[in-house]
Formats: sequence, C-alpha cells, structure tokens
Amino acid sequence: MRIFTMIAVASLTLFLACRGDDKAEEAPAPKPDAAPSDAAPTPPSEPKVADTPSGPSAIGEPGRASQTPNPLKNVYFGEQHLHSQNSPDAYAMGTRNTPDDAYNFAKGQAIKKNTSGEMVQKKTPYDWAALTDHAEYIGVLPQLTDPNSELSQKLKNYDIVQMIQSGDEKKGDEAFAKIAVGLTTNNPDPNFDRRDIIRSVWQKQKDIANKHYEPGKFTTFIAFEWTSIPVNQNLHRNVFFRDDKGPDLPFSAFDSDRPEDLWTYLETQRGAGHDTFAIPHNANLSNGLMFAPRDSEGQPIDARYAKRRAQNEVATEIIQCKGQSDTHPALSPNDEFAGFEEQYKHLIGTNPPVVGRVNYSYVREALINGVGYQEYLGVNPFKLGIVAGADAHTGFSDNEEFNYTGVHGGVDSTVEKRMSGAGQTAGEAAVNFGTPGATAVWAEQNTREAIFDAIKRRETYGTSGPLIRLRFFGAWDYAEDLTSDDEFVKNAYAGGVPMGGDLAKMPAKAKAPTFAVWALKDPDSGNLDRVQIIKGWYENGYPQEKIYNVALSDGRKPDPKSGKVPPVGNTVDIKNATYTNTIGDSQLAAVWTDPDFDSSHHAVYYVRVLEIPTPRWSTYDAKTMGIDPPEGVAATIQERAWSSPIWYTPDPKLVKKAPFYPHLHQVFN
Amino acid sequence: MSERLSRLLREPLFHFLILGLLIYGGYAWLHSGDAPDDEETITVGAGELAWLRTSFEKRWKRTPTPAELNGLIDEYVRETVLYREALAMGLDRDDTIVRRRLAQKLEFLVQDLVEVSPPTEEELEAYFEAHREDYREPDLVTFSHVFVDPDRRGEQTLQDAAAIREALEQLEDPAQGAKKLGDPFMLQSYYPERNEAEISKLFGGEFAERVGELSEGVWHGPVLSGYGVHVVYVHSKQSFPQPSLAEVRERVLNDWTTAKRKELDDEYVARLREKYDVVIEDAEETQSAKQAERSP
Repeated sequence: MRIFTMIAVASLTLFLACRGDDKAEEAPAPKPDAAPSDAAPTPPSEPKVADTPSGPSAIGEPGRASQTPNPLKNVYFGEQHLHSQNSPDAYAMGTRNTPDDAYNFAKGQAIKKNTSGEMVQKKTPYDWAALTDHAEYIGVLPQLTDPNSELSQKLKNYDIVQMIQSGDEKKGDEAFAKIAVGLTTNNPDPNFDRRDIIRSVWQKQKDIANKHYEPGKFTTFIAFEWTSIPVNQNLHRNVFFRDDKGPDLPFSAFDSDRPEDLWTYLETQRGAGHDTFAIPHNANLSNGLMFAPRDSEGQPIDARYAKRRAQNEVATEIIQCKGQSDTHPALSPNDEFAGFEEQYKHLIGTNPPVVGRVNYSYVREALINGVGYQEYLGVNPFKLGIVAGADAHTGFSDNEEFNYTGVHGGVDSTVEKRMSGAGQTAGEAAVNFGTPGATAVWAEQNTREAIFDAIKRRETYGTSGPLIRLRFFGAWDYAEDLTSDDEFVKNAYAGGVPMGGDLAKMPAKAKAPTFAVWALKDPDSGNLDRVQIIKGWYENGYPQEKIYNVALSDGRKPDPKSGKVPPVGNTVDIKNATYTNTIGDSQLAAVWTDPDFDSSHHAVYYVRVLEIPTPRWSTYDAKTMGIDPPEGVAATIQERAWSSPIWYTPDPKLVKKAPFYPHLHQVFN
Repeated sequence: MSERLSRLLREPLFHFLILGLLIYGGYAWLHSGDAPDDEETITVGAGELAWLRTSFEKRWKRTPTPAELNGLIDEYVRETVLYREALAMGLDRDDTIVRRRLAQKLEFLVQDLVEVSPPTEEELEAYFEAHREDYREPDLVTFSHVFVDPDRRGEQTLQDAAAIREALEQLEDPAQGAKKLGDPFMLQSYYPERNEAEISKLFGGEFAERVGELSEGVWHGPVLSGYGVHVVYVHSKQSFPQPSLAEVRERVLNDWTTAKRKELDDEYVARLREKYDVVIEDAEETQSAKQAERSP
C-alpha cells in the first residue's frame, strides 16, 4: 500500500510549472457597481489656490538636479533585517550569496541564488537596505573556506580550519556546525573570538555597506545583529549606525547577553560620535522576556531602566519570516484579525519543541503597558516605532508573496523542500515561515542620515510584505475634510504630529483628539479592505484596548445594532492561486475623532490597514506542484500594514494614579 | 458489479498498483537467489555516525544524547532500507523530483568545471557594441497626472476621464490643471525627472511603460495603473548619450563573463545531447510537453 501511495504521489508531481507566471492580475478595470464610500475622501469642492510659489516644483517632489529635501517627506521602502553568507548560521545552512548579492538584489538586479541555482529578482526594488549579519563570527566562515584569506593564513594550524579546507564536504559541514553551535549556546571559540580577527572582518563588513551607499538613490547602513538568546528565549536586537565610520568593534552576545549591557555599548558609541539605536525583533519567540516587567536581574522595571530602554530602543519589528508580533488571539480576544501568521510558535532550538509564553511577548500589549508605565513611573520604556523585516538567511529580502523562494539557505530553497515538510529550520517546518515584511520610512530624502533620523523619530510603519502607502497624523483640531484637501499633508504637518509623535498639550477648548489617516494600496498587490485605529489605554491600573473601523471599502457600513462590519469577501481561486481586485478600494481615508476619549487616561493609537484576501505563498507553491495547499496554514491571507503609534499623555493634574498596577509590577510571574 | 469493475480498470491509480506489482514481481524473479552479502549489509561506521551527529547538532545546536543517537541510527537504517528497496524496484526512474535533482547536480558540477578565460579586447568591444543599449542611462520623464477613481465613479470612470481630459486640454498651465481636476490621490500630481524604474515603484510597471511611450506636450488618457485611471501630461523627456566602453568597462566585463559561461554550459549540454537519438512519437503531445518544460 505504501508503494502504491508513493507511486501516486510521484506521478502527481510530474507537471511542475513556474508560479511566477501566475501572478494575480494587476490593473483593475473600473468596477461596475462600486458605490462611493463615505469613508473615502470627497472631491475638493472649489479649486484652491496654493499659498506657496506656483509652478510644478510647488506641487510635487523635487527633481533630481535640485537635490532638495522634501519637507513633506517621501516614503522609502526598505529592509532593516537581513543575513548573507557572512552570518555563520546562514553559511552553515548552505548560503553562499554575499553581501554584494544582498544589496544588488534589494536594488532590483537579478541574482543567482546559490542554493537552488535559479535567478531571483524583485518585482519592485527597495530604496534602502541594512544588512544585519550576526555580530558573532561575522564574516568568519567565508574567509575560512578560502585558504588564501588572511584569516586562514593566521589559523592554518587549527583543526577546525583544516577540516573546512580538507575538501571533504562532510568534514566541512561538521566544522560549520561546531562553529554555529557556539553561537546559540553562547560558547565562543577563543580562536575566532579574538579582537584582531573581529576588527578585521568587521571592517570589511563596514566597507561593503559604504560601497553600496548611493545617496539619493539607495541607502545602506553600517549594522549588525546582537544575537542574545538566553535559554532559547529570543532577545535579539539589530544595531544601526548613522555615520559611515561606525564603531571599531560590534557588540556580540559573547560580550554579554544582557540588553542592559548592549545599551551601555550604544551609549558609549553615541558618546564617541557614532549615533546609534537598537531594534528588537521576534518578541513572539521571547517566552515573555522581551517586554517583561522586570530587568535582566529579575528586578521590577524602574524609571532609570525605562528611560535607558526608550533612549536605546526606538522601534520594534512587528512581523518577519518567523511570525508576527502585533498581538496574539489570547491577548486580544475581540480582535477578529489577530490570528495572522502566528503558526510559528516554538522557541528557537528547543527539542522537544517548547511553545513560548504569550504574555509580555507582543507589541500591542507592550505599547499599552508602556502608557501604563508612563502613568506609574513617569517614563515609558516601550515607546516603540513600528518596522518589519525579512530575517532571511539567504541574502534576499523576499517580501513579495508571489515571488517567494525561501528564507533559510538550502533548507527551503525549492518548492519541493518547502512543501514536503522535510525542509525544517530550528525544528519548525518551512511552511510555517511567512514571507518577509517590509519597512516604510517617511523621510525628506533617500540618505543615511534622513532615514536614520526618521526611524529615530518613529516616522515609520511595517507591512507584511506589500508596499502599501500609509499616512497617519494626530491633532486636536483637524478639519473634517482634511484628507480631501489637496494640501492635506502640508496642513496635517502644520496642525499636528505624524506617526511616531506625541499629541501636543490638550488645549482648553478641545474635547477629544482627531486623527487623519490615508492609505493607498500597493499597485502590484490586493485592494484595501479597511483601515482600523487600535487604541490602548490604562484605566484603574489595568490595560485596555479597543479597535475602531474608521474606513471601509465598497461603501460598507457597520451593523447599527451589533457594530459588526460585513466581511469584504474573497475572490481567491485557491486551485489556480489567483485573485481579482473586483472587491476592496485602491485607497481609503478618514478623519476620525476618538468617541470614547477620557482626558485623564494615558493612551496610545496606531493604525492597521488590511488588504482583501490574497493567496499565501504556500498556495502559490501548491499551485506550482499541482497539489492542495498545506494544512495548518491559511490558504489565503489578508496582508496588512501597521503604523507607528501616536501617544497621548495627560496633564499630570488630570491623572488619578491607581493603587496597584498588577501587569507592571511583577518580580515573579 | 461489472460496471464497478470496469471503472476500477479505468482508474489510473489501479494501473499504478499493477505496474508496481509487476516491477516488484519482475525484480523478485530476476534476483531470486542472488542478493550478494554487501547488498544485504547496512554498515553504520564511524563516518556515518559522525555525519548523524553533525546533522543533529546543526538542527538542535547541541550534541545528541545516547538515546537520541540510537534513534538517529534507527532512522538512518530505516531510510537506507527503504532507499535500497526503492532503488531496487526502480522507483527512482520516471520521478520528476529525482530526475531534476540529478540533472541539477550535474549542472552545478559543470558550472564549477567550466573555466572562462578573460576576453580579448576585441571580444569585449564586440560584446559592448552588440549590447550598447543596456549601458545607456535610462530616459527621464517629467510628467503630471490626474487621478480618476473607479471606486468613486464606478461605470462612469472612463467617460469621466475623457471629459476631464477635454477640460485639461483647454487649460493654459497643464501642471496647475493637474491639481484642480480629478479625485483626491495620495501620490503627487507632478513628478519631475523620473526613470521607468522609479515610475514603476510609484504606479506599477504597466503605467511606467506606458508613460515612457507618451508624446510630450499633450494630455493622454485614460492610462491604467494598479490604482485606477489616470490622465497624463508629459512635460519633457531627457535622454542620455551612449557611454564609452571605458566608462562601463567593469559592468561589460561581468556581463560578458556571465554570458560566456552560459554559452559554454549550453555547449557542453549540446555535446552530451549529440550522443542521443531523440525520437518524438506524437507531435501534439510533445508540443505541450515542451511548453511545460520551458517554464523555468
């Protein structure tokens, strides 16, 4: 019987086709029955005369020759978390694509993926990319493979080096694995963990980043990943520098696996003129450690800790290939869209697999607890902007769902490996990994300084991959028709704050804050379903959250009784992995005033934009193989964007402190 | 009953089963009594053990316990048994994945073997001449556009776009007009000096391609994008002179090497192919099979 099944399965896979050809349709024909949506902006009634100098330059982005920054900001899409062969684990997984390949792929060039031999290319190139290879043994393995490299010469009598250079593949892999084990067990090999070696490989890494920086066209950063993972609990942070010199040495988990020590390093670097910050990721795999109410010694968070954390960690990843960290259905039971890309559950490297704790492992909870700390301690440790990342160990930022080729070297480099269940990384099946997310930055121009500063002031948002454009502003007195004004952005900046900002002090006359949001679809992805504003606040010592649908496509209205919104529908043809943009809108906008505002509560607001359902990458792969989409993961997903928040801090005179803050003051939990 | 039987006989899976039994039976008959010792011995030596340990460490980042190692050995033996049986039954034949994997292995091997010696100056120049267009800076377009929103206008969209275009044609300053007519849109209405790739990032590929083809100084439309419908005015286009070989030498050299390598690879496969007679029996079927093969 088994033979029978094997023959049958083999015969099913006879006709493999390329899925790249089956991309969903793009330019939608005008919809026959699209009713004007109330949520969408209305046309400007009267043409307005601009009060700025007239002529083309006043109404658009500046031209090339001018080199003028745009004070109203442009959006720049890019990557802030990526590994090449210079990361030891990527190398051990078979990746031989170099940092050059990684940058050139992000710039839009077609590159040969070494693990599959196929040419890979982005449909829409990125504007910037930071390569964040692991600081631990950064760039060491590729040098050891080359017998003529400086490093090989230095260490030619070391048996691990001899194994690598023996030409025996098995011995080589054994040696790579030995080195990679040191990485996750925090057990450095003294032969490699030497300052002279690290300094030399790190200098090379910095040179490559500088070589690919083309101001105005493509931005890179000097960056690395600090890979702290105490007892399989992920505390990883990426570290970024503003200048082109950067530090002499990166800071690795071998130096210390405590975040507080990383902050000391960052503070020292800033003191030496290298402005820098850290971005944590995969809170979802931290077993409740990432946003825990205690420090590394188990002591409750105090004001000093909170202040240092906020200064050193300006943003966090909301999604990447190892799952999303927005929220978990258990934390947000009333959020019907919470169960998104959360099938990756196991703490990295646990065997048997251990599912991590949910509490203190998600960004929304941290943002809300953050305003709780603002009330309780007077400082918010979790004042975080939102970014997204790849964390791909291939060199390639594969954010395009229809163009996905795997993220872990040779482990998941072919359709067969991804779909067979054989391709596993750290014990998790390939199908449970998602496509990389994308980071969008609102900056004056495409330079290292401008993008660094934008992330630092949190004028950023993250997406699950598509290049959705999203504006979000908050103020006390925005006009109701703000988004339909053709001076929208100018007026929004003039009268309020963009995403990542703090609402100004509440004026005496004001009743509630008003938010303006405008989202535009990715021209190569699905239409938009809805725009939501997620509000979190603290009340009587407890965190609270509520989700408001502020703009709906296709003229939908919430049910007046239940408040429920009818679903947008689903046009996905699962068998053929296609969809049509006959539902949803290409853009959605709203000016929304908080109807439940209480001026005595600390609050945080952020936007979530949902696309209409489109096929997940595994559905495209299944189509390629001519099989049913795999069980255990969704066949269709609603891709999305999450903005950085806007915060409200009440006048201290209005605040009534609670007697207890059970979620914030816990030594043991 | 007879209907059920005939349905069963038509069932492809049934054919597979029969085929499997035939292969198995044939094998058993051919090899009855032979089976030399080494074919029935599975040795787990020091090399295999080290390999199993390493694979485990690679995945779990620690050494296996003795119990786990025993498990790994059991699994290895089981896999080897199945592998040998499958080979013996010929299951590796006519399996797309196995075929492709083996072909790929040889391809990789060939790629490593083929040595490309550096080109002569003449070869490089000839290549550059043949691909001149690839090295020219892309054209820059300065354009304004008016967005006509299908979500708002429904069936009227194309008609409205035509009316808007007529109104725009009456205006003296096209750039100002772009701001006054049409529907609210998040992107700018005016973009100076953008190349096709940049326009594509903003509006999608089809729109970018189309804008590159439009003539200057008149309103065009409707032009479709991933967002909806646009009426477009091209203010100016800028083309760049052809660079000399010296200016782009490194790129040309890279491209030449890549092309040469591919040429040598293809030559190698062509030489191998000469050893074979290719017989194509049914023209129609072959045609479709070829098409299926062609998709990369």
